[in-house]
Amino acid sequence: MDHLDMLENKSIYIIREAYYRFKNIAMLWSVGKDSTTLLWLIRKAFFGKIPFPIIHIDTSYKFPDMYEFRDRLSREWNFPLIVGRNEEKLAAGMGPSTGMKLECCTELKTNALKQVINKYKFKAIFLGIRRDEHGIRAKERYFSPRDDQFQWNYENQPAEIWDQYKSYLDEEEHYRVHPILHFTELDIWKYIQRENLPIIHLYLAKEGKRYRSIGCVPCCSPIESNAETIEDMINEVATSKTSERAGRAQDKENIYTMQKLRALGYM
Amino acid sequence: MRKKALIIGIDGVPFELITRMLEQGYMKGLKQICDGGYKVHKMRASYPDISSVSWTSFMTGANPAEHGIYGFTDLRPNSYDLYFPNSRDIKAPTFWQELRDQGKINRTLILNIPNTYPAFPIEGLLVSGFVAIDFTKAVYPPSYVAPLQRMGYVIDVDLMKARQDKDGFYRDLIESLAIREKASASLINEEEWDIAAVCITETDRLHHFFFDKKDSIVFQDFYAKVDAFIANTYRTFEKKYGKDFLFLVLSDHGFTEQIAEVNLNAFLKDKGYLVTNESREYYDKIDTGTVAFAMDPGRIYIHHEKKFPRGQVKSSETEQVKHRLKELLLGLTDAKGAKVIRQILDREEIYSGPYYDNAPDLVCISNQGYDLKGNLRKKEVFSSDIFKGMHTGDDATLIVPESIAFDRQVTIENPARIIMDYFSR
Repeated sequence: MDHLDMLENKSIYIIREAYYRFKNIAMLWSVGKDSTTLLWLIRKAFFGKIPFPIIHIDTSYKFPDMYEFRDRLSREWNFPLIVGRNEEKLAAGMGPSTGMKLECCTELKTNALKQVINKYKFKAIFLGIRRDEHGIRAKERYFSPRDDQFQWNYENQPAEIWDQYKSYLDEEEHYRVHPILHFTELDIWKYIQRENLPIIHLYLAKEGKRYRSIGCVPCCSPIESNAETIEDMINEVATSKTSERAGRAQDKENIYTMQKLRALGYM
Repeated sequence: MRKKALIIGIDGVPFELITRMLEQGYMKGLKQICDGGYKVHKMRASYPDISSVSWTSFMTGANPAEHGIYGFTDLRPNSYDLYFPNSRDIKAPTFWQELRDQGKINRTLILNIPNTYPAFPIEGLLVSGFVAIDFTKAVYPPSYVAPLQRMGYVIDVDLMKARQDKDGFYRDLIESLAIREKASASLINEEEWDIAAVCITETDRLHHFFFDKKDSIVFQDFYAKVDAFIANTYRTFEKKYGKDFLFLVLSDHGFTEQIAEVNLNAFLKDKGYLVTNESREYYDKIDTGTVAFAMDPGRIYIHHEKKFPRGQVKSSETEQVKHRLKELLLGLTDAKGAKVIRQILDREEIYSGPYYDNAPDLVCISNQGYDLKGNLRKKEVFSSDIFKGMHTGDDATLIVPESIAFDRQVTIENPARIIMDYFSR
């Protein structure tokens, strides 16, 4: 079997398995390339119709193109969209320019998602994370339990072998399900090319710069690149030695270090 | 018989406090050990008196200009890029590496000493202390990860809990102290070590959040448990290796009650020495026109044109700028007119070594209770938070055999030399 077909099959198996086990499930869509790929795989898994809601967490600081893309795709692919916003903190002026990036992410992303999960009582959430993205994500599982505080105990996870995925959970927990964990950045671009998927054009180079990873405007910086087509991009990613998230403001380990230092009054 | 050493670290325990606890009978086990031939000394911590700097000086016997660690935070050369120095940034060899290279020792146990994350190769076992993020990267060799997890071993308590549930936080401290004691006892019992160095972090945590209760049962109970930890570990070691081993107890800095946090950057800004661009992040906020800025706790950096992208201070102006800064900072007083800064040291006076260039230009020493801060977030010069204690530099603790005499001030760089000498004799 072709490499991309194998990746696709594995993802679809996990998507169907999760949907079968958790009735109250949803998908988190950042509108970036990975979660849009996941969205496409979900469509495929259920023959063109997405049978559960799609959540977009809106920090209000996303690129305008992202909002436009989100609304267009939800119309064209016809799925129920839940937009989660931490209205209270937004009204209070929370934002990255106040010099509190960490707090900003926690409030506008993490807590906004908590609010959505609590409101709709979701028991499982699909996420488009990939193992090669980041050191800490390499420890992720396809089915990853979280407690009500969103804590992920990566030192104590159920083993996942021979496609036996643990999916029992306590009252206060929910599961994160990661159907594209095994895709690499390069796989994603090849798959996008093969399936002819729509992507936000911020990923493509304009005047020698493009975004390799997108999120909130103030926290993303473009990289030097001449990749104007997906073909170029595949070549670029295949030879790149820098980290995909290098253009993102924060690295997970740094975030935790900063949290610990702040807790003792430093920084 | 091979020589052996047992070292117990007690993070943030001041000389005066431990002396009092010993006198008042809250540390009977340690008192008994001391009566058998040990002396408690007052010791000078590193400059600045920060755990990661001081413990690195302990591990290497070197000053920051030799080992390269000046704080929990630092900036990358020729930039404003903030980074968190860790074990990879230590530029000097540790005493156990040197002793091992010389064939004087075989296996070493390093448990919970700060600034050893990520864990690095050792003949023996190293379990990192603060700041350690990913447990699997905090243990060398990795085969110990699972056994330690089975013991329920934790590197640190959840520090955020101190904000929501102080009683629960206190209980967590006691629990993690017990787990650490159990882990060190079982490691010492079950395996052979030439050097075992075990560090207690919980004392520092207790002091940060409860130092206002230093004369109450909150401290007395806790110190009785610290005492049991030290005495039990000593007995375990003694039972295994006999009476004749080197025994050291040390802290990395002292503590005192906090009166206020003093945000030096807010002060420098008020006085026109610091200009920030608030659309940028962290130390990248520092803008053209800045003469100097501070980093935690009292490190002052002159905004040299050769060292920083937007720096304009010329080498020829350095001495004059230093002089003006000293005058300015020494003149800082609180609302009641009390002087905040006691002394300002020039880097020439305290640092020497190959990484001297990375050193802060000046290091401020505050009067007791004024907790100097180097953040760029707070706008007011004086602020307060939930913290009750702050670090001090001139009253760390060192307990060594009576036979060891010092002819000058004891510093955190001395213990490594004492250990090396012991194994080399």
